[in-house]
Amino acid sequence: MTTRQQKSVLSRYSHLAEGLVWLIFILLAAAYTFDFDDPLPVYDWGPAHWPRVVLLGMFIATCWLLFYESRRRKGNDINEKDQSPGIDLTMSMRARMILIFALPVLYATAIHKLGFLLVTPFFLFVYMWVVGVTKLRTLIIMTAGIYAAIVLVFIKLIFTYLPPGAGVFNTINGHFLRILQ
Amino acid sequence: MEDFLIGTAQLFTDPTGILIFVVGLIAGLVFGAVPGLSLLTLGAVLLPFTAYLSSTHAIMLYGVIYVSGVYGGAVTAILFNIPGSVENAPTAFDGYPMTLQGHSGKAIGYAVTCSAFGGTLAAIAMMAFTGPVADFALRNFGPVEIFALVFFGLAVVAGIGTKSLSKGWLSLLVGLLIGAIGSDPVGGIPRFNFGTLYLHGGVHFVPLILGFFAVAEVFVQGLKLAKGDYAAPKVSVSYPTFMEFWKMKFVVVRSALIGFFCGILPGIGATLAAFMSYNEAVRWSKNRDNFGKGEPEGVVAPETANNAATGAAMIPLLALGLPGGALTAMMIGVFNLHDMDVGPLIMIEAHDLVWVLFASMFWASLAILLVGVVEAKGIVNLLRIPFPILAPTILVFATIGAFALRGNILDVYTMFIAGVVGFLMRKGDYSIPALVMGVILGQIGEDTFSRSMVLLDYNVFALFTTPISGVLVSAGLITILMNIIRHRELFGSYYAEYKDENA
Repeated sequence: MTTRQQKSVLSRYSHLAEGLVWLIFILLAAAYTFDFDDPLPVYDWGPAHWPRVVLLGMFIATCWLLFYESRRRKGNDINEKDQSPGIDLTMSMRARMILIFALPVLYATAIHKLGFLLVTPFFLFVYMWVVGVTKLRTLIIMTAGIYAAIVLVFIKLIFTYLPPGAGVFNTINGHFLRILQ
Repeated sequence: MEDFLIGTAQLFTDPTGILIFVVGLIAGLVFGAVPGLSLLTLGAVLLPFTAYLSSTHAIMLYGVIYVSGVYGGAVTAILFNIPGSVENAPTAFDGYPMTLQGHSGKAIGYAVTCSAFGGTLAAIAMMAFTGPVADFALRNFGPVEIFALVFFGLAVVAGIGTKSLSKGWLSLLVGLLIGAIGSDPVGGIPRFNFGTLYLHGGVHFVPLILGFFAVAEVFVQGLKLAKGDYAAPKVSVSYPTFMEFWKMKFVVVRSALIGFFCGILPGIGATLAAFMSYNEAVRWSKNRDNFGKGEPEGVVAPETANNAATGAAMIPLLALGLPGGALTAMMIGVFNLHDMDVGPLIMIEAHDLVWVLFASMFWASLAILLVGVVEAKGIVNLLRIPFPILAPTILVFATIGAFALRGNILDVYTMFIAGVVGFLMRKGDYSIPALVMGVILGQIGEDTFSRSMVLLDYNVFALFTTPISGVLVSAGLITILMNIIRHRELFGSYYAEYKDENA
């Protein structure tokens, strides 16, 4: 089976996977509603009523999705024209795609532990490089410029409270903040 | 009229007053337009300083920043898919696609003009009808009617932003479920909080909106860039022509009325106004299928309505001391700082102050047209910044915006999770507008539904017994039915075409 044929088969059954994910989600959420099913003296239907109605609606919408998508795809492959031609991704492209998602999550974790002021210039530099700025001079100038603008607006002008970091980094950020102010 | 002229004269014959007016106007536009800053940031920053101003200057300053800030948030919504505040979120639904199509100038032009128009109309209406309109709304709009209004809004929005009705409904219902996180509105029982205190108060709108719009957009465009099929948006400073505006006359009038009326309802104000007017624009438009893809009516409707709501929000604030949103709540703080209580007596006890406020909001709405055009011509050029430089900047500004809200790092995590969810939903042809509407209207919806059911003795059919709620709920049900029929027709035509092609 060629890659294209494999993609075609995957596309044909993707709605089943999508529906299954929704059904599992609905089931788990519905099970969770029993955790807060206590009666309320002022409201007979209790706190679980509204989420359960919403989940029932989601169940109906998921069944609808599965029914129509199954009929649409029944008995044949999806039209060739529906499929994008597909791009052959190189290893570096794949790495960049992963970093585009992973770096912001790492950044959020890092500012919590190391502090906003210490981490942000590195994040700006690396993310710009990942999304396509390759000249070192441009990277340095733009990182410095954006960082200076952020410091000017948020620290010098409006004294915004920014993540201070934890432990020793909290102290370092504090010193850094005093220098910048 | 006489009171208005006296208020205007007081405003413009006082050099300090003029200075505060100009500073407030520019600060509102800038704070609204810079990603990561917002109207509420400005309001919070200014609050302690108002103690050094006279009561008239302090209240006037907040009136001006309210008007200009609500417009300012539209700029980032249109150019970068980052709504300055919640009430600008529907502007991004069509404003940003217009930018991607190279019509950023037109989108900004519509936003400036309609914000000014909506704000001016509301200011006039506020001065003329404060008494009777407040009386009508407060007598006739209880929880039953507000729930009916929300139900109608939800019914309409499920059909927006996706080809698949089931996916539209799923998006909306996920939004409603997110809105149910926290604690229930009646008994305060914790729900879906996974034992964490963070989720006890619910998920805040701001990190969600920053995630669904700004972060998801960076991911979408970043992936395109990595794959080598990224196309930079074209910069355009061409404004809409008079004829293009003229075509929008019904949308503008309808949205101004919706905005004004929703703005009067305490607690929901401009947000409901913007979303409801967007819904109505979709419902009445001939280009219904174009919504979510760059339809100018999708910019005109929410921008007219959210500015119209700013004037209207002053009615419950001044007449009853009920704030329509966070900024109007800050205004109560300003009154209190000056030893004044808002309520029915304010119109008598501080008559001059109230009319200076009305006059300043009227002139601020008109001034937006001038200052907004100049500002917009400059700010459109931000689009010339290459995406690789813009992407991390947007992420850092969004991080600051999410964290500065409550000083809680979990808001930043929430924002990035919302970004990934938003990205996946966009890839799967789910509707982000429906999701966001679900979150925002869901909380109001559940609160009013619970109270309605207690009032109506748990009889759902009693929703049809009062005229206003009966009409709104029926209209909502008809909308759902029409959407199903329309979807079946679309499906039928697609299926027939498909069978023909494969015969």
